[in-house]
Amino acid sequence: MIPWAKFGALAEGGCESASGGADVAGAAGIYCGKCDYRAHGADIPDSQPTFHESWHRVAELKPRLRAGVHISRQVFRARLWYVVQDQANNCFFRINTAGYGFIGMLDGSRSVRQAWASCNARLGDEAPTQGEVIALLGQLSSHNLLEADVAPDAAAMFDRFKRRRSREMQGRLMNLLFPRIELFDPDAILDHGVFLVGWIFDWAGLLVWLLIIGAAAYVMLSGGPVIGTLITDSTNILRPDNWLLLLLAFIVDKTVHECGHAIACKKFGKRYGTGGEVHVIGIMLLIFTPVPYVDATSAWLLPDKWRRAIVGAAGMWVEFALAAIAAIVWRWSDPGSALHAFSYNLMFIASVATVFFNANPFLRYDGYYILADLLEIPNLFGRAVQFATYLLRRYVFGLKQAVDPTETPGQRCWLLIYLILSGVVRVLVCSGIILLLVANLRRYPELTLLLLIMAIIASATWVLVPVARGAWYPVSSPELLHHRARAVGISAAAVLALATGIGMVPMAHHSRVLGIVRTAHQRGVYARSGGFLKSATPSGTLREPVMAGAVLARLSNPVLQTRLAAARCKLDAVGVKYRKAAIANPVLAQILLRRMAALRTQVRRLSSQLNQLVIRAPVGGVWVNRYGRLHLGAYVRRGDRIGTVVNLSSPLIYAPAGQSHAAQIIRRGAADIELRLPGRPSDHMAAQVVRVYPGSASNLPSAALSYLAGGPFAPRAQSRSPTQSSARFFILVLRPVGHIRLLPGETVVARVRLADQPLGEDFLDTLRRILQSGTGL
Amino acid sequence: MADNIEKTPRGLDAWWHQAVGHARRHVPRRHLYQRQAGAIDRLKPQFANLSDEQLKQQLAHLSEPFRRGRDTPRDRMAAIAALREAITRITGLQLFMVQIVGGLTLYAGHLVEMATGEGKSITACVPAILHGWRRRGCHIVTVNDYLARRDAEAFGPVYAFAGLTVGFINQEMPAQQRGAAYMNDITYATNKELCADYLRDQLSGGHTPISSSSGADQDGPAPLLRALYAAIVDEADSVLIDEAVTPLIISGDAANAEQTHAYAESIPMANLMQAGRDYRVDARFRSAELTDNGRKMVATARMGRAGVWNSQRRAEELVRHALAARHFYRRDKQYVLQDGKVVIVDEATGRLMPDRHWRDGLHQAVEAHEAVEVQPLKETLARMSFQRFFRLYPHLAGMSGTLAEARGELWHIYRRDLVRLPTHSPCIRRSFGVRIYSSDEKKWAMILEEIIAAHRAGQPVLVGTRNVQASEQLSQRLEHAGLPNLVLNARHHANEAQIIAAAGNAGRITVATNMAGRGTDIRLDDAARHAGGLYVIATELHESGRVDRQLAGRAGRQGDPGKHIIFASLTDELFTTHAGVLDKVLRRCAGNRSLPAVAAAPLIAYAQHRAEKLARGQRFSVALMDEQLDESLAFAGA
Repeated sequence: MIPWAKFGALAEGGCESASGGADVAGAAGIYCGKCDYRAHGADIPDSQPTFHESWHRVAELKPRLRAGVHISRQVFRARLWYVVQDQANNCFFRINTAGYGFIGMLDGSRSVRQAWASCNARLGDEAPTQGEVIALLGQLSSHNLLEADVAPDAAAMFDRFKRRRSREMQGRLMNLLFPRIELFDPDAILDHGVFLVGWIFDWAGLLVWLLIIGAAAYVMLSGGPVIGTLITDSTNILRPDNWLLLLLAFIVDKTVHECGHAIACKKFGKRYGTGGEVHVIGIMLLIFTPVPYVDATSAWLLPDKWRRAIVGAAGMWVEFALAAIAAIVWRWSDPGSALHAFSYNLMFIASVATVFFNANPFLRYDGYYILADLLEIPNLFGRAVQFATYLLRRYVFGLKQAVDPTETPGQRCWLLIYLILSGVVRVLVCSGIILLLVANLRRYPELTLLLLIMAIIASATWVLVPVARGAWYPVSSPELLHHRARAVGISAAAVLALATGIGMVPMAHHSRVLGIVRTAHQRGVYARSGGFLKSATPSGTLREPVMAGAVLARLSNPVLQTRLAAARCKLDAVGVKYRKAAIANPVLAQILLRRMAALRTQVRRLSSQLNQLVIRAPVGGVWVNRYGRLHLGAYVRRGDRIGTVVNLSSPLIYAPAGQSHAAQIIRRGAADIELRLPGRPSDHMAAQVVRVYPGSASNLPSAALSYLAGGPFAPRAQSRSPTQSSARFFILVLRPVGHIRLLPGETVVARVRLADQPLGEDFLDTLRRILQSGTGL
Repeated sequence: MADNIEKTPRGLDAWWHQAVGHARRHVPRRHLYQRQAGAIDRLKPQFANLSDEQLKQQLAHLSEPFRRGRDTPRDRMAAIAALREAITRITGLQLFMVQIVGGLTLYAGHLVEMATGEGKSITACVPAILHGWRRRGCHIVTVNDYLARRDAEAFGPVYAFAGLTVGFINQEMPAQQRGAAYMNDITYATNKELCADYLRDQLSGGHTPISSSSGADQDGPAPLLRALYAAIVDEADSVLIDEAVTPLIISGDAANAEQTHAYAESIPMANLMQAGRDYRVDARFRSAELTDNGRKMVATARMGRAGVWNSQRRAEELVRHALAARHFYRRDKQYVLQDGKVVIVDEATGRLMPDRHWRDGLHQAVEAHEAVEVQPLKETLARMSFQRFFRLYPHLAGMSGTLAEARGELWHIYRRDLVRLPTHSPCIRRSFGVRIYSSDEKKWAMILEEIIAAHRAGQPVLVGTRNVQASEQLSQRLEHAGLPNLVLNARHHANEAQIIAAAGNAGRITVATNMAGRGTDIRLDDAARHAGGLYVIATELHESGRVDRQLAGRAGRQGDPGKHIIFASLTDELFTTHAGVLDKVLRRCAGNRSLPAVAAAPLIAYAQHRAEKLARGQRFSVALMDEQLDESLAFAGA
C-alpha cells in the first residue's frame, strides 16, 4: 500500500493472498488471506496534520459499510480490535477502537464530516486525523467494503479490479515454483459430513489419538531393537529408487493433513457460530510435486485464540495419528513387501518431515500461523518486517515521522526475537537450497539446464528482488525527501563496507581432497635360491614388527647339499692328486692347482646358496607372509616372492584432485594441509606436499576413490576397471607429519588451506567453474 | 472524474514511457511541417488575386469539411494558405514560414518552441481558426488578463473574417458574461480562470446524490463551460510547468472559523522558542519541526487554554506554522501587505495573487505574525491540479520560447512532443554570461556600475529582480545615483504594458520583477538601436534556467541587437538553499573576488539541477496525488 505512505502509515497490511504471497507459500496454507488493518491513535507522529487538503472530496459523503460485511470483536494483546470480514472476498481487516469509533458512526445518514467532528469531540487526540480518515475510507473502498450515496466511479473501480488481477498474476509468476490450482468448493460436503468426523477434535478424539500413539509406541519399543533399522533405513529414503514411494506417501499424508484442517475449521466454526466456511480446496505444485491445500481462513473469525491454534494444528494432529498407524503396519508387515516400504515412507513423512516443515514457525506453514495466533500478533512475518523497516527508518535514517507498527512492549520483544531467528533460518534455508542445487548440478550434468534455471529463479526471488527493492528505497522513496542524503549515505556506506568485505578482505579458504594411504617403504622378500619350504614365520602384526635380518623362512634343498658334498669330495680328491704330483710332475701340479681353485669357488657358491635358504628380513617392518602355513613343504623356486616386509612408519598419501581443485592448489599454493581421518574426528595431523604428478591421469590410485565406493570420481562407463575414472585429475602426494598411525588403504581427507582470497573472487571462481563444468565450455 | 484521463505512468511503466518519449524525439516532425509549409507557400497565388469578398466566400467554403470533421491534409493546406492571405490583408502582417510551420505543429497537437519575439500570438491564430471551424470551442490560454484581452481584440477582425466569433475572460467578469464568452468559437482566457470556471461547474453540477430527495440539486446554475475540446497554450512552460506546482483551489469559509484568535496566541508561544533547542527548520521545504523539548513547551503553554489548545496535536501544528511564518515568509518577498491584508506574491512571475491563500492555517499564521487582522480559516471546496485540467482537453497544444529544458516532464505528464523551430531572423543578442560575487554588497555595486555605464552610452536598460523588495531597493540606489528609473512590480503594476512598451526607448532604465518577462514586445527606437539595443541585466539566478532564458529573451528580439548579463552572489537564495555545502566552500575560497567561470558554471548547474528536481518532484506528487485520490475514492463517485 505504498501510495498511502504520504498520508502516514495508517493503512498497513492488505490482503496477503492478493499480493500473491511473495513468501514461501505454505504446503498447508490454511490462512491465505489475513489482512491487517488499523488506525493510529495513541502516538501522534509529526507528519500527521489534523487537516488534509483533499478533505472536501469526502467531507459531505454519507458512506456506510456494505451489507454483508461481518464485524467481530477480538482481543489481541490485551487490546480490543474489530475484525471486518468481507464474505465475498474472504478478506479480513483489523480496525482498532479509534478507527472503529469512526467507521461505526458511518450509517449512511451521517456525513463523514459529522462523524469526524463527533469523533474529535469524543476521542480528542486519539481521533483519526483527516488524512487518516481519507486513507481508511480509501482502503475500505479499495476492498469494496464501502458504499456511498453517490454513483461510484465505475471506470476507476474497473481499473482497480484490473490492477488487482494483474497483481495476482504477477504474484503467480513470482511463485512459479509453487503454483496453486483451485479444484472445487468443499463447503457443502463439509457441512453435511462434519458430524461424522468432527469428534476427532473432541475429548473422544483426544482419547483415540492417545490410544493410537500409545499403541504405536508400545509396538515400536517392544520386541527387539528397531532404532538401528530405523536409522539405517532412513539413509535410503532419498535414494532415487525410493522416490516414487516417497512421493506417494507424501500425497497421501498431505491429503489427510488438509482434511484435518478443513474438518477442524468447520467444526469449530459451527460451534461458535462463525460458519467456518471452507470454500477452496486445491492443489499446489510444490517443485512439481502436487500437494493439496485448503483455504480455512474463516477460522480467523473464531474468538478464542486457542481454538484458532487448534485449527492450525489440526493437520499435524491427524498426521501424527497417521504416522503412528504407519509405524504399526511397518512393524507387523513383511520386511520385503511393498507395504512395508510404503508404511515406512509414510511414517517418515508424517513425523519427521512434518516436524521439520509444518511445525517450523519460520516457514510459512502451520507452525507460523499457530505461533501468530498464540502470540496474538496476526501477520507476524509482515509485522516483523515492518518493525525492522521501522527501526531502520527511525534510527538509521533518522526519519522522525516513522510510525512504530507495534502496540505493546511485549509485542516489540516478540517481534525482535522472531525477526532475528527468522533471519537466521531464512539464510540457512536459502543457502542450503542453493548449495543443494549446486551439488546436484555437479552430480547430474544432464539436469544442468533445469537446475540452473531453478537456481536463477531462487536467487532472483530471494536475493535479487529484495536487494533491488532495498536499493531503490533510499533513492526514490518520497518519505525520505528530507533525509535523502543521510539515507543514501548510510546505505552506500553499508554497501561499500559489504563490498569491501566481500571483494577486498582475504579470507581463509580450504579445499578438501580425498586421498588414500600408501606405504613409502615396502620391500618384497624373494627366495634367492630354490628349495622346499621348511618353516616360515607367520605374518606379523603391527604390534610385532620384525627387525632387519630376522629369519623369515627356512628352505631345504637336498640337491644343493648333495652337490656341495660332492664338490667337497672332489676337492679333497684333487688335493691328494696335487700333493702327489707336486714333486713328480710340476706341469700336472699346475693344472691340478687350477682345478682346485675352480672347485673351491664352486664349494663357496654352493654353501652360500645353502646359506640363502634361510630367508631374512631385508628391512625392519611388518612381515607379511605370502604363503602362510599351508604351503610348508612346497617347492619355492629361486626368485619367487615369498612375502613382503612393510615399513609403516612413514606412509605417503596419494590424493587425486580433480582439475578444478588441482588448479587452485597449483595456482594459489597450498599454505597448509591438514589430514582428517574419517571415523576418527578427534585425530588430525599436518602434511606436506611431496609432489604433484604433472599432467593428468585417469587411473585412480585406488578403487576406494571411485564413485562406486563412495568416492568423488565417477568411473568411466566403458571401462571394467573401477580405477578408470571418467574425470581427469592430478595426484597430490602428501607426507604426513605426526605420530598418528595410518594404515595403507585407508582413505584420508586432506584439507588444503589455500592462499587467502576475498570471498567475492572465490565466489566468481566457483561460479565460473560450475558453469564451465555444467556447460562443458 | 468521469472524464477519462490517461494516468501518469509510475514505476517501470514510467521508464518505458520515458523511453518512448525519447524515441519520439527522433521523428523528424519539423521537416515534415516545413515541407507542408513550403507547399502552402506555393498555394499563395491562388488566393492573392481574390477580392476580399471572394476570399471570405472561399474561407467559408474551406471551413465546411472542418465543421463536419472530415478535413483532409489538402483541405488544411488550402485553408492555411487562404488564412495567410486574409491575415495579411487585415493586419498588414505577413506570416513568416516559421509561423506557418508553428501553426501546423500546434494544430497537430504538439508543443512548439519558438524563439521569443517571433510573433507567437499570431502563430496561434491559424490553428485556433482551424479548431474553431469545428464549432466546439477553442481556448487560447494566456498568462494574464491583459494579454487575453489584447489578443482577442487584436485578432478579432481576422476571426470575424474567417466566420468565427471570439471572446475573452477577465477576472472581474460576472458569470453571465463568462458563459457568453465561452460560447464563442474562440475564447482567450488565463489558465486560472479556465480551471476555476471548470471547478465551479463541477461544484454546482457534480456530486449528485442518487437517493437525493431534494430535486433542487438537479437544476443548479447552468454550466459556464462547454465540453473541453481544444486548447492552445501560450507560454506553455509557465502554464504547464511553473504554475502546476500548486493546484487550483476553490475555497469557502471553514466550519470552525471562529477560532482565529488561536493564531494570534500561537505567535508569542513561538517567539519563546529557540532554533536548535526547541525546533529545527528545513529551508528547502520551508517547514519547522519541534524537538521533544519544544513539544514539552507547547504542552505546558497550552495548559488552561480552551478551544484548539485542548488538543496537543493541533497546538503543535499551530506553533509549527507560527515558526514557519517567522522563518521563511518575508514581507515583500513572499507576500505584500495591501489594505491591511496579506497578499501572496507569485515568486515565479512577481505578480500579486489576491485570491490565493496558504493552506492549513499557514496564511493565518503569517497574518498573525504581521499583526494584521486574521482572516477566518478557509476550507477547500474543490481542488484541481493544472496537470489534470489540461489533460482533459482532447486537443492540447502549446508554445513558448523556453520548453526544451522541460521536454521530459512535458512528455511524461501531458504526452506531448516538442518541436523546436529555428528563428526567422538570426539572433544578434550578445550574452555576457554570469558573474558571481562573494557578497550581496559587491554584487549590487557592480550592477549599479554596469547600469550607469550602459545609461551613459544611451542604451535602454531592463533590470530584472526576483522580488519586490529587491526591485525597490535598486530603484532607490538608482535615485541616489541620480538616474531616473521606472519600477514595475507587484505593487506598481498599474501601467504595466505602457512601461514595458516604452522600455526600449533610448536612455530608459526599467527595474522589473519577473512579470516583465512575458508577452509584450519591447520595441526599440532608432537611438536605442544605434546604442546597441536593449541591455537586459538579471540580478539573480532563478531556480530554473528556463526563467533566466526568458528574461534574456527580452533583448534582441526579431533581429534587433541586444545584450544580456546575469549578476549573482554566493549569498543568493538559490545557492544557500540548494547548494548549501558547495556554496559555503566556494564562499570561503572566493574571498572578495568574483568567482571564475570554471567554478561558477558547475555551481549554477548543480544548484539549478537540485532546485528543478525538487520542483519536479513536487509537481509529480501533485499530479499523482490527484490520481491516487481518485482511485481510492472511487466509491465517492466522480
